[in-house]
Amino acid sequence: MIVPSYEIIIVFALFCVPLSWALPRDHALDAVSVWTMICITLLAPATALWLALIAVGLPILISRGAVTRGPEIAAVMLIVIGGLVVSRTLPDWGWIGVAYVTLRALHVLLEGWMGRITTLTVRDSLHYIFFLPTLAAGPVNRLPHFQHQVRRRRWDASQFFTGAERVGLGLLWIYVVAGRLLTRIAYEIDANFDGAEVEWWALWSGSAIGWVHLYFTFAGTTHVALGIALMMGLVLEENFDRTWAARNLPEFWTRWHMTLTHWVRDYVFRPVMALTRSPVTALVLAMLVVGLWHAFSLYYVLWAVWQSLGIIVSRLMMTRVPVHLPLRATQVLGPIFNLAWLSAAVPVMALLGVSP
Amino acid sequence: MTPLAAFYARHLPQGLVLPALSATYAAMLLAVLLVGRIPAEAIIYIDLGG
Repeated sequence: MIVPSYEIIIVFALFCVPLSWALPRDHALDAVSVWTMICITLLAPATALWLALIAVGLPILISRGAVTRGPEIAAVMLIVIGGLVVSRTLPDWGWIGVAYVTLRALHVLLEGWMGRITTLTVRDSLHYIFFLPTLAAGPVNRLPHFQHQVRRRRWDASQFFTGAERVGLGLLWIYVVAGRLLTRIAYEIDANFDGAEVEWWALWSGSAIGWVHLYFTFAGTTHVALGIALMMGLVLEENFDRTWAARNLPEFWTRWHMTLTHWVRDYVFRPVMALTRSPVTALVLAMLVVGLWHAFSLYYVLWAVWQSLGIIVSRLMMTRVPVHLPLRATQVLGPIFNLAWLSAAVPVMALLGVSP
Repeated sequence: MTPLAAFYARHLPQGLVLPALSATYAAMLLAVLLVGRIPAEAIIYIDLGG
C-alpha cells in the first residue's frame, strides 16, 4: 500500500487526462474508472471496497425500485452514513474521500426516491463514483449533471488549456499562497500575541487567518479538480463564487462550498422547512449537517448553532434595522463582518471550554 | 483562448502576449516547485481519512 498524500493523488488524477483522450470516446470513462480503482486500491484498499459496494449497489437498488419504499431507503441511507462513521472512527484502515462519496450516494438515493433518477446502469454508476479528480476534495458533483457532461464531451483545445491554467492556479494557491505565505503570516500573528491577557484576540485573529488559509487551500483544490476535469472535456459544478465579496452571511453561505450548501438546501433545509414551516429549525438542522459532515464533535455542533445565529442576526439586521447603508459601504463592511463572525466561533467556543 | 491569454490580449501589444503568457506559466511552476509547501493545517477539506 502506498501512503496517500494530496501530491500523489494529483499526479494519479492528472494521468486520467491522457487516458481519457487516448482511448475511443465510448470507453474513455471506463478507462478512467479502472485507473481510479487501481489507484484507490493501492492507496486505500478499504475505500476501494466501500466505493465498489456503493457503485454496484446504487444501480441495483434503483433498478429494483427499492429506493421508492420508505423503510428500504432509510435502511440503505443509514448504511451509507455508517460507512462515513466507520471511516471516521477507524482512520487507520485507509480512507480517501468517503465524506464526498457519502453525499454523492445519498444524493442518488434521494433523487431515486423522489423519482427524478429512474434508471442507472452499473457502468454509469462506476463512472460517477470512481472519478479520481473529484474523489479526495470534491466538489460534491451531481449524477445527472455528470452524465450530461459525459454525453456532450468532445475535444476543445481552448477548454483543455483553460483547465491546465486552472490546475496551475490551484497549485499556486495551495502550495504558495496558503502553504507558504499565509502560514508565515499566521506564525507571525501567533508570535505577537504571547500573553494570557490577549488570548481572546489571538484566538480570533488566528481563526480569521485560518478562514482565509482554508479558502485558498480549498478553493485551490477545487481549481485543481475542476481544471483536470476540464482538461478531460467535463465542465463540473463550481464550489466558490467570489466568496469574499459576499455582503452578508446568508450570501456568504451561498458562495462558499456551494456544492455542499446546495446539497443541504435541497435535502435538509427544504424538506424540514416543508414539514415544520419553521425556517429557524430548518436552518439549524441544515447547519448541523454541514458541521457534522466536517467532524463528529461537540465543537461542530456548537459551530452549527453559532453560524445559524449569524445568519439569523444578518437577516434581522437586513429586514428590521431601518438603516440603509450605501452600496459601497456594504461592499466593504459586509465581508469584514462576515469574516469577524465566522472566525469568532473559535474564541466563543474557547469561553465554553470547547476547542476544534 | 484561456482566461489569462484573453487578459493579456486585452492589455498588451500582440507581440508580447505569448512571451508574457509563457513567463507567467514558468513563474507559477517555479514558485510551486521552489517555495511551495503543502499546508500542514486547515486541509480538512482534503478528505484523506482524518
